[in-house]
Amino acid sequence: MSGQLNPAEDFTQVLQPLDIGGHKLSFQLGPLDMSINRVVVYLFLAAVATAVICIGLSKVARMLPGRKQAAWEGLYEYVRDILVGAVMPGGAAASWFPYIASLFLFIMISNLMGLIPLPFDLAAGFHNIPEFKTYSATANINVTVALALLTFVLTHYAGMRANGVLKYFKGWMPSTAPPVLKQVLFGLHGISEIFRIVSLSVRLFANMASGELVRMVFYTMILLIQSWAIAVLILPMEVSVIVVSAFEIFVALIQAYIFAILSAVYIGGAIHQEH
Amino acid sequence: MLNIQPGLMIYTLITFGILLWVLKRYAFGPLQKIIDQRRDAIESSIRAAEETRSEADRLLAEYRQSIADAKNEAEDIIERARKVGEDQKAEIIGEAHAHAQKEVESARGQIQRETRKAVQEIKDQVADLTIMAAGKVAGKAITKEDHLRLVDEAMAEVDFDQLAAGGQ
Repeated sequence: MSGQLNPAEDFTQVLQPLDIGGHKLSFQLGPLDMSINRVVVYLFLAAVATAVICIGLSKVARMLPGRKQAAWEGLYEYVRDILVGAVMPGGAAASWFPYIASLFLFIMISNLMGLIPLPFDLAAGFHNIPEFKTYSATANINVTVALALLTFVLTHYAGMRANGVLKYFKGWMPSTAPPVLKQVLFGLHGISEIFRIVSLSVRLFANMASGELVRMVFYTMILLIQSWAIAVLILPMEVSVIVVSAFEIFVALIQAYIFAILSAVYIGGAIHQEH
Repeated sequence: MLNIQPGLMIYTLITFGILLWVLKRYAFGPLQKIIDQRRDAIESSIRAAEETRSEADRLLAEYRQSIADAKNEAEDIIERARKVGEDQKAEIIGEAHAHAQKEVESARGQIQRETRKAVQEIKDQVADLTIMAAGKVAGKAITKEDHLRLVDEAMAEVDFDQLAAGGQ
């Protein structure tokens, strides 16, 4: 055991630039810190995993589907018809499907990767055996805010393109409201639009980070005991790690689903404004 | 964990942007193509099956019709043949009747002719014999013309018709 267990530190540690053989991957682009840290690596890993899985499954797709292909097509058609098709008008659904589907798959795989312990900290390893740690890119607020911002920008872009700029912003105010109230309602709507970014990003980030924290706390407590007798006594706690991990699978899927379907609902609502 | 790092956001957007492009081009596109192809194949095979079935139905109806036609035709042919046979029978019988009638007629004519000839011969012989006998009796020959006249007178009294009827 490495002996140094600092669960809280783990979350700041992931933001430290990676250290490969004494070479720090620290980059500065003007005022921007473009260092490659663990979050970036997890981002890349999640993206590569998503691409490899999806392309791999689509590449071998044949007219007569096997079991894997049937499952993949089932997921694909579920996203196309239920996630996107049900909340957007037909033409918009077709053009926005790739975005929503990519969002769903990327967040889902990123979330699920948070459940797989990966040998990451080469330096902190015990007898040169790297420490296995679990982390998910979506457990970082920057990642979820970036994705939420993307949905936010695309929502208003889609709304303006479909309705025209003036008509789109006019749609923020109910036409039946008295003129005095219109400005107030416009302001309220604007605030609600801004808070969509917060709700989208914080929901995903908090769910993933809390799961991460809970599991880390359980692991740490088990490791801190360092006595077989007590370890046997607190067996329920060890079992609960498994239970929490199983629950995390469900959370990972549901959060990806929520993020994707809310994005679809926001974009669909902007295209097809209610008056 | 709540540190704001714009660099990380940019990495996220770039990574996700590339992933979106890659997935759209290499995963969703090909899969949708396969799904469309399969739908088309299923559609066309259903259409082909429907066509085959309607074709089969049509052929079956056609065959049934032609079997019915053939049956009717066969009945017609048999009927016609029977009629022709009967006609021929009637004709043959009629012909045979006519022929027999004709034969009988001609036989009757022949008999009458023969009878008439025989009667003439008898008449001639009787005349000759009479002349001969009369000549012997009268010792004087009378001319043949006289005799013939006499015979004719005698013959007129004989009823030859009755003789001819007897020869029938």
